Amino acid sequence: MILFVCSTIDDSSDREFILWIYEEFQRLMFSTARKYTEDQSSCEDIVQDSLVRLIDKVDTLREKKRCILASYIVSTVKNTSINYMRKQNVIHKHIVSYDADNFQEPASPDIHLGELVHKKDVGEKLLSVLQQLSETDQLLLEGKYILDYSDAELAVQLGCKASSIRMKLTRARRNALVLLSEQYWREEIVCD
Amino acid sequence: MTEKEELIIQYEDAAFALLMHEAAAVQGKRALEENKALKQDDGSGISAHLNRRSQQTIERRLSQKQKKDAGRISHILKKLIPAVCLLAVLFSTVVVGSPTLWEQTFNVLLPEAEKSETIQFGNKNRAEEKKPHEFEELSVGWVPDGYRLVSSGKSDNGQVIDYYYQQTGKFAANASIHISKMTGDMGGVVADANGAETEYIDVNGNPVLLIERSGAFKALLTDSSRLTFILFASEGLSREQVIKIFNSIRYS
Repeated sequence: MILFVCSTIDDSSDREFILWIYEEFQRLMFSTARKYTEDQSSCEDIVQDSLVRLIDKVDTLREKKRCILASYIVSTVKNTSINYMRKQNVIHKHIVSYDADNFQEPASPDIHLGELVHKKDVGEKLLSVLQQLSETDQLLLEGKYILDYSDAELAVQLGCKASSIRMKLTRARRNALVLLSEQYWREEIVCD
Repeated sequence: MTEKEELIIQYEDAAFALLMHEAAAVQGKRALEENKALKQDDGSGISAHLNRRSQQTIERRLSQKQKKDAGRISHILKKLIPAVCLLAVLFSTVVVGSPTLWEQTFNVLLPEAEKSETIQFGNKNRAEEKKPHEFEELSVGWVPDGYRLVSSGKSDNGQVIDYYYQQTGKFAANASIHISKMTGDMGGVVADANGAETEYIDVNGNPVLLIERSGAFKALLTDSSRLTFILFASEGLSREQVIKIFNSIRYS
């Protein structure tokens, strides 16, 4: 039995929502892309690719509060920009490879994860830490925890097997936690 | 990996997700502030050319997504229990046998729409009466001033023609017209009429179901002699404009 359910009407609500997102955040999207490249043509391509990604996640986006939605859009453009620039071979020299051969286990974080969760300004500090991480780690952590990408989607972006994503994520998390605990440690020294 | 190591990774994952949520909230707050500043900055405007390109990207991707979703629904339905299929076939056989009965069935279902979420009807097996891919043209003779055609085209299998208009220079959702034509052998239509004003109007001898909710119109023309549905959705138009558009639609 082939039953075609005409979704024209449902589709129009997706269209309305995506058009609203574009109208509301178009300048922010271009501004974010420009932080990665000043080439106008590349910026345009990045925003187009980002729109495609946002449409693919339209059901997820609907559930987000405005503040988190804005964060999702920024992370999408950042993520797309990094991937775009990688493809253009512009930033390869800055990319830290995560092949098993040259991987070094990060030092264990000094502060326990359970303590960090309760710290008041942890969001601010973690955001700053994310910017210090390698682009691969940023792709992994923002992709997994902000953009809700599956292991398979992350694997496509990084050009690796989906089965290796879990281990890469564990390492990326620990890299972030080491830097985060260092920030708190420095603050304690200053306070003392 | 031991069970304990497994649990530690799960714990780290959950705790880190909480930390990232905090980071996302901070990033979102900053993004909203930046967005507000950019909106007030005349120099950061987006060119009309780029807006057009973005809109085309959106339309193209939504269209692909719609086809993909329809394919998924079709796949799920194929797996429905045999009893449901049998009932559907029996229903289709009786109803499709007579175009008059087919329209009557639709009329019977209409009052029920006020009580339920959807109207649904279908005319499976019509494809057997018609060669596949045999599809006629659709044209729209009139749209209100200020509206332009943003996208149009046929589906890959040639069974749906689509027109999408939008008010010039607007991305607002309240200024759009969407018209689609599909052959009867596509199977069925679901139209949400819950809580809406519904009425029938006559357009060139064909019944058109007009559904109005909060100023938005959805309409469905059924031409049983040509096995055709015309679907229509608009925001921001008057009833008279909707009827005028419908009267200007031609299909052969």
